[in-house]
Amino acid sequence: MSSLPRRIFKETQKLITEPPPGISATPHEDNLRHFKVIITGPATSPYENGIFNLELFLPDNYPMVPPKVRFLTKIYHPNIDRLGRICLDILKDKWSPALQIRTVLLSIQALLSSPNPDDPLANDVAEHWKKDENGAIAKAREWTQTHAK
Amino acid sequence: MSQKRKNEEEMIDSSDEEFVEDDDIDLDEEDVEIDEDDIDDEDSVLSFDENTPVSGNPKRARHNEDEMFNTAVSSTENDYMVWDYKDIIKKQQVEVERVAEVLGISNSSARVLLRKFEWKSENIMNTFFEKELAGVLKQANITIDDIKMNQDENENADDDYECPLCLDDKKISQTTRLPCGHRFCNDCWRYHIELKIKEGQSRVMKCMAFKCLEAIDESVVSKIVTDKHMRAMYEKSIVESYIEDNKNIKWCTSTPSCGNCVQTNLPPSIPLDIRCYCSHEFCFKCTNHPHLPATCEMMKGWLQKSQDDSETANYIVANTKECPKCGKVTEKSSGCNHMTCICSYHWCWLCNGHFADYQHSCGRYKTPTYSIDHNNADVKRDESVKVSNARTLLERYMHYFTRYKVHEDSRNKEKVTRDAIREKMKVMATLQRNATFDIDKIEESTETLFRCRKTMQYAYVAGYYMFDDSGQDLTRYLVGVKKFKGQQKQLAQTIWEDNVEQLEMAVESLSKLLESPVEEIVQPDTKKNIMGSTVLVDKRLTALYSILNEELMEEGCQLPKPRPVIPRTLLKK
Repeated sequence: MSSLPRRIFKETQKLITEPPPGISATPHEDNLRHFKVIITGPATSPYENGIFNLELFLPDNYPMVPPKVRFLTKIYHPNIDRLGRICLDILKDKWSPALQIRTVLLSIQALLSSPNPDDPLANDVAEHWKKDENGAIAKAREWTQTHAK
Repeated sequence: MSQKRKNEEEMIDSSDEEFVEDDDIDLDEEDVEIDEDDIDDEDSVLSFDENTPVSGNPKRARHNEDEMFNTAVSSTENDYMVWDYKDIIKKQQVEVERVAEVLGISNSSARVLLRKFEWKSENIMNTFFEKELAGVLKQANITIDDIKMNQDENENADDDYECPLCLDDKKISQTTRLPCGHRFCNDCWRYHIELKIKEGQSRVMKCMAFKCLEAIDESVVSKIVTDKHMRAMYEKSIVESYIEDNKNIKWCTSTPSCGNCVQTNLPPSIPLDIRCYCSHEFCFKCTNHPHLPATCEMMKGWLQKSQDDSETANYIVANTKECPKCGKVTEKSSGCNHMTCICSYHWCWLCNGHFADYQHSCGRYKTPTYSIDHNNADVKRDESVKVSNARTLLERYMHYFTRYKVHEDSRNKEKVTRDAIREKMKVMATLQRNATFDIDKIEESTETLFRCRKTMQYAYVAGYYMFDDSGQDLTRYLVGVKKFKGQQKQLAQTIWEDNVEQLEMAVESLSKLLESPVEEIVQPDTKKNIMGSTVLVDKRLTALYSILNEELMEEGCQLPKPRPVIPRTLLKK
């Protein structure tokens, strides 16, 4: 990477010096557009106490196009599929260049607190969620225990 | 012969004697009309090559604005018009200016508005009269003060400003603020806008701020985007949006594209034979090859069927017979004519008779007795077996398919004849003073011949679907066709087939006349015959379409009769 845009540099700097609560994002040394992200499961959600690894990549056209983010840790969530892809409007058509890495990660954290089974990515999970919410939450908690330690 | 047909016959007969004169008058009038309409600007606009005929049907677009609108609105005699790229830009500009004038806004805002409203200026006008300017702009996400762009009074062009996107420090003068209040630096704007243009999404360019729906005005685009190539792409996308959003306009489907587009004056849901100036032909509704009087739905089924079935069907008809007892389709695989069916029936391949005692013989010629079931005289057919139904279906299909194919082949052969005639007529033209007139007439006749051949070709498709009584479910192919019951259907079929037959006979005689040697064609008598025959054919065609539309098609689904195609040379006079 020849020159890193000032915006990415500044965003990275701020993420490291003032990380948002429960979120950490550090760029890889060999590629400063590639971030290792850790989000801790929000309290009072089935993901509580879980430690979720994600990867985030800033494409060449960033911030005109959204960053690419995915979960590396297995997670039982109606809007996240088994490959870790996330269904979140701001990562797709609602993206605005005025959004930042920080806002994206905060939105993902919020998604963990409030799953939306009506706009599903993992259909089977969403189905489970709608039919038997308590059972689904229990399973999400179980997965968090096994996979997100 | 029914009374109706008889009357018609008389009518035609009596006209047979007179129509040559009538015809001359008619055609003369047509000439005059063309002179008035098309000659003025034809040199500057028309760039035809001499040899290929052009449709006289579409009106050539004018570059004079008033006239253009007149043609667009008042040309009831034309089913469609062909426009080239420049025409479209011009048309679009006229519309933009009209909206800008009525609403009292800038042209660039009017363009954004029109794109948002999918170029339906009536919708803009209606919203405008109901909800005034504010309502229109709100619907298009344009803030009212878009006319007094950019500069805030209390901001100084030299002030420093950190662009919230790239976080670089810029001067106010290097930034642009949209009427929604969001200000970003010009570099970010350029990046954003150019990306959208490259992605082909310049139609829906919005402010970069999160959740802001403000549309980016064209004046901003032209201020920000300086790259020539990008600007051209942007301009092109606007023109294209005009065509793509407008249901009455379509690109000509020629490949490689000729770049012309066609505007229909009929509802866009009606199939219409189009001939573009590039001489490519297509149906406006389904964009496939023109196919009137069959509908697009019929054609879809037909082409599918002929692709799937025709080869198999041909083979079955040519090479197989059915077992006279059980009806199984049987293919003869060796020389022996003694067939033993799996139903254990023995039969003769030659006469279909029972091969009972190995002493069967059918070599003696017997005068046919014309009894209705002479085939099955010696065996009772097993009625429960439905296989023979399949053969009836197939034979019915083959009946229509063969005729469909034959007319197509004739058309191709006649193309060769026409080229030959044309060549010879050219030679004649150098020798004879009056020859160009003759050439035009002959051209016209061949065009009529083609038109009718095509009609007949596809009339068989229509017939196949409209009068099916085998009980197969063809409803999805019969959109817009009246639903008949019992007797009614029979009657409709008779009328339709009578008319196709009449047209067929007229066409064959015209075809024969046109195949006469050129020396003969130029003889006054033959010439008169050809012209007369042409008029007759056209009358038959008209009759066929009026039967179709009055008797067979539902209200509102009427199919337009393909119009006469006037040779280019005639326009050049």
